[in-house]
Amino acid sequence: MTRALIVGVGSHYGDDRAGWLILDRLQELGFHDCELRRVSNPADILDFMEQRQRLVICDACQGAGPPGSIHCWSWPTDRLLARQAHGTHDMGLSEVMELATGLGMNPSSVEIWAVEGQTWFPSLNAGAEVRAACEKAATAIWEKYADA
Amino acid sequence: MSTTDVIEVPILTRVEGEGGVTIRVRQNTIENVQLRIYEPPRLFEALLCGRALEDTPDITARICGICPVAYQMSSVHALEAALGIQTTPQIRRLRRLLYCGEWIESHALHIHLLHAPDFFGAASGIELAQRFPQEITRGLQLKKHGNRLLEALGGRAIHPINVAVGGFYRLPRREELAGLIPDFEWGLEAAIAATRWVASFPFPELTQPYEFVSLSHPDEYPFNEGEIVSSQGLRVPVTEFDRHFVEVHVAHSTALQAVRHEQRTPYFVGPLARINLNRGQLSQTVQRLADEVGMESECRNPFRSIIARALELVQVYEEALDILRGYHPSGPSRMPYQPAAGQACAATEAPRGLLFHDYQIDDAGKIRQARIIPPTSQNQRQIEGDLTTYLSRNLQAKASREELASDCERLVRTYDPCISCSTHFLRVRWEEIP
Repeated sequence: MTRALIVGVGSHYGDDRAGWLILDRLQELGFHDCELRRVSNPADILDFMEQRQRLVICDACQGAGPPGSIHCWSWPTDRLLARQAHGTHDMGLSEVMELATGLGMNPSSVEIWAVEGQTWFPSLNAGAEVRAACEKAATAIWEKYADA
Repeated sequence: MSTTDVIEVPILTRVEGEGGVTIRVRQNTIENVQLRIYEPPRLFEALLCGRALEDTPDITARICGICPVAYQMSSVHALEAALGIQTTPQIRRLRRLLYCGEWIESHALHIHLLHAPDFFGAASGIELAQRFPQEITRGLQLKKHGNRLLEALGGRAIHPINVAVGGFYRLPRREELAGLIPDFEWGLEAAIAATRWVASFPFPELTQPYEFVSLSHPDEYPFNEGEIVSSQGLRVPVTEFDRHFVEVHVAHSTALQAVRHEQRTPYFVGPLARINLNRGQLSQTVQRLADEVGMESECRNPFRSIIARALELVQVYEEALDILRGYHPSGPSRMPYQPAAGQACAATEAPRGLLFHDYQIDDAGKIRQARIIPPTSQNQRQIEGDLTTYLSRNLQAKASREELASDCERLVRTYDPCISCSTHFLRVRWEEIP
């Protein structure tokens, strides 16, 4: 059984960087207790799931609260919108988790940390509220998963 | 009085990018089929103009998240031809290895998650996984191997960053590649098992008089080099691409459609074309496997493309293992060059088929003009032809409109189209207002 895994899902589209920002902050804090992975596509999480007891996914979200609000859900959760994928570029997080569950790949504990975003334009930095929230989320994850 | 009705597939699912199909039926006969690509043009060629030629492999890689290596390979080969750069045998082998990684990732994904569900009436890979958990898990493992290889050699799995004009920015250490060997040994056996699995699928009947087109090389299965050949006897150097193929604009698509230059007929690129035209270049293992699973010497059923894709998976696992085992870094990682004005083209084999690039550069090493013709652009016209034939037959068989719409999607997916890649052109009309 390997170390707990923390995955940051993000892109270069404004507040969609949130997952990456949390991961960057964990790295700045010198967090070495878990394996950290940065992905652009939720489907890539499947590559790293095997043989884990704990998986933490950091991502941006929309529609869960005011911009910059932090949410923590345990999988399975109905808070993730299930939608029909049109390809694999856009296979959503809920579909990836469903596929992993169907194949028995899911770790026993899966936690999703999400930061509510507001702007999603290409090449923009994340907004101030989101950046601040990502720092807070990283600290909370650090406190919870130190020595995981 | 004639009556017309229209069957719409508004959004094709399990293909990359956004497109749909419109079928116009008049008096129970297919009048017109349009593969509508409405995804906005990406304008990558214009974006390259004025940029340093060294930026080209990294910018063109952004055209596709599934086949970035193909764009990098076609671009560096064209630019190296323009600059007269000769690379070393080691760089050539590492480029083939990088392409192996991309084919493994792309083919494993398409076979298991995108295409296989169609043969069992499953709506998605998730649904298919409930019925074939071991096979889908195996497919995900194969995809992962492709990604790991791209990370080790390309710096990262999506949009690799190690490809340079003249070679690589850095040669991997021997242990970085050698560490992949056990996984690839397992993967070779798994790919063979996957081929046997897909060959057992129930395949719809459809045989078409295609003109298959691919690269062909006398000594190896085609990746980066070779002449352009076709099943109708064409054999020309890549530099003559424009004499034999041309792109045309159609109103219903933001992507140009490629056709044969004189005849204006469609042609077919991709794994089925490659396997048909290069069977002799397949390894002994793959040739035996092709015979064992009953792959015809010239297969003309597009639904059986999934077998061709699986056979290629075995082929690239074998080649990757061979390169991984023999790798000892030596010599330069890339060849030096001086910028000079020039023009050159190149074609390589992307997972989905022939990918043609053509560049003009100025004496300061800036891109003056770029032209990129992806495989999906080349297959579009053929896809429309296939749909017309297949749907005409099923319409006579009194299939329901819903069934016909599903048939459309299934047939389009056999080509593994990457619509996002294909939208590389926008015709702009300027209106002068006095």
